[in-house]
Amino acid sequence: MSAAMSRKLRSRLSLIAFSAFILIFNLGPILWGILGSLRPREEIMRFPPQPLPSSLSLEHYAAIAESGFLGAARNSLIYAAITVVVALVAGSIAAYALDRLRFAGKAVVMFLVIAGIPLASGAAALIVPSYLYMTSLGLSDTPWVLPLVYIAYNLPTAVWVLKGALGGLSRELDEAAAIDGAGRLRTLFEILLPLCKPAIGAAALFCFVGAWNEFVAGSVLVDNPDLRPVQVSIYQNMGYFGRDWGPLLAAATLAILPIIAAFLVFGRLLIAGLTKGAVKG
Amino acid sequence: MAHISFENVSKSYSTLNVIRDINLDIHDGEMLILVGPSGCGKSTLLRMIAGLESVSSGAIRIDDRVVNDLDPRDRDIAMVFQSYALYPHKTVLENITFGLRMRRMAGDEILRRAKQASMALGLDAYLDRYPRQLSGGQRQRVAMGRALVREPKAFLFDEPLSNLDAQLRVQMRMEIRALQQKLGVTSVYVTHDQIEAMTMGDKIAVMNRGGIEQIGTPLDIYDRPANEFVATFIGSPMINLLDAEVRGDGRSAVTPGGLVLPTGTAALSPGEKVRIGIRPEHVRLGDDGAPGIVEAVEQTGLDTLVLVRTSGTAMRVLIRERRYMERGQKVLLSLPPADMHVFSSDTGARR
Ligand SMILES: Nc1ncnc2c1ncn2[C@@H]1O[C@H](COP(=O)(O)OP(=O)(O)O)[C@@H](O)[C@H]1O
Ligand SMILES: [Mg+2]
Repeated sequence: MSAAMSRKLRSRLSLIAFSAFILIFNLGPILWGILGSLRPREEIMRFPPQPLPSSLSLEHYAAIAESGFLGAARNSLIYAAITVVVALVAGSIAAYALDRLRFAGKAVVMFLVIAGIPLASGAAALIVPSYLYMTSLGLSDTPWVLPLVYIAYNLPTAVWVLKGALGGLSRELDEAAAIDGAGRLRTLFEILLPLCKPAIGAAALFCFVGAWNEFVAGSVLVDNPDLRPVQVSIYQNMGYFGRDWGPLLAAATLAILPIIAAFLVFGRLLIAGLTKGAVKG
Repeated sequence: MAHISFENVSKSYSTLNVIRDINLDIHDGEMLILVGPSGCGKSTLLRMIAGLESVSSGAIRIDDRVVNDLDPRDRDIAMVFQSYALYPHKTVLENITFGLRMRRMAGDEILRRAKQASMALGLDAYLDRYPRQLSGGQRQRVAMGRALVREPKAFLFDEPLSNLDAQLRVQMRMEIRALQQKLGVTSVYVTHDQIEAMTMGDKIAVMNRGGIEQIGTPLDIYDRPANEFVATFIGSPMINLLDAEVRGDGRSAVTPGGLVLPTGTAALSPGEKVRIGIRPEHVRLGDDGAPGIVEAVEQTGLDTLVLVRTSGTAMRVLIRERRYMERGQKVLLSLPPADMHVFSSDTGARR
């Protein structure tokens, strides 16, 4: 084996080792959590920790099923689904306007959209004004309030991502469609958006994960246990079950599943775009 | 089928005048070629017919109806783009029929037309394919098919062949012309390629800097260019242009180097400064005439292009046969008076 080849091999091996380390470092807590949720209660906090549970049990899952977790999960799924649908539809129309039309104040609108993006992740700063606003509209503690707020938080990101994708599409597509007799909305939904699948996937993921993981607004804007989102429910389980980590880990495990599912669904759009998106004339 | 006319049409982007006071009539069933150098405003003019660009002043009429403010879809025209602008996520069939669907045509009529067009263009085997699975030539045909099925009042073509290789270009330009003549649909065809211009149109409009320099049949324009610009733009190899001064007899002119050129029938006054144009194929190498020396020889296989220096000027000479010549060889040039084009030195206009 030549020196160059062995050097190449060594650098590749160290790259693999490094990646494996990062992977374990990241996935370790999640794996520990999942395993923990399946352990018998008395094993969870045992020291020294056992790598594998002595037996698997679903007792913690049974416990959270009785505590209202499933209802909260269903609420959050609905909130997130509404957020994704509305943010994509409204976001793509807004993105089209910002990219393809000329109108007064466009630069200002675009600036506001960009400025709105960081607010989606730092939503705590918005909670007091949001609370006051929603209360004055009589919306707090109603089924509408959380979807509304989540849409507002996530819309700027969706607009920005979709505008970037639309901007990459040739104007001649619009023009060909216009000559073919398609109106603006038809052009957007039938010609342009099908060519933006990766961006749609990305925007949908952002919105879904944003809505699913949101905690602050969910804990402030609704009181009714029937309207409670999943993250708030998990937090309340912490108090409800005291130091009982089993049900908490079970709830956290379940809370990850929809995110994985979202990645499987929307991530497919992302990948599809990466591999076959480039359809140049 | 339609009659399209421009009346004092201008277009500017803020301060930039890209189309200047155009008057133009395109008759029913005619194929007009817009030709000119890159950036002269051909596409802009075409897109104004389509409704993709606004009109700053003047009127565009289709069948005597002013269409300045009409949406593209209400003008009943079809356009073939340079990039083809096919819908990448739609199959060939879907691409071709999209415009018909938008017009809410009945399903069986859509299919009938799609079939007809795909037969005419040899696309029937590809109807289920996506554009990315087609060759450049096939994509070009799909773009044509999308226009054909519409059975519109007019076809607009914006350099539709410029992305094809030379052979395919020759084939397609014949096919397009044959199809246009068979259907008798009014067409406007933009190109910067003068061979396409010469071969495809009933009429040519030569454009320069946003204006039309000359309109006429291809041979008209070739034989009687209205000015220096048209003379140099149309014709390959390029016309020879020589500065000269009209002699006392008013029937010939002399270059600063002393070459005497007959000026034919133009009415010229002695002492006038002119530019004389003579096409390379009109210069004869023969037994008498002005002496010259061969500077370069290009063989195309079909004909021979010779660069001859005579009285201090270099003259392109095209010989319609294979001729073996050498650099430094002495030749005699004869210049038939009937083939001379005389242009004013000041304005460039034909005298
Ligand atoms: N949107 C625009 N804004 C400003 N100038 C433009 C625009 N579109 C075209 N032009 C200018 O108009 C002129 C004519 O363009 P075009 O019609 O595309 O030329 P051609 O098709 O003959 O090459 C060019 O000089 C071009 O720079
Ligand atoms: Mg052009």
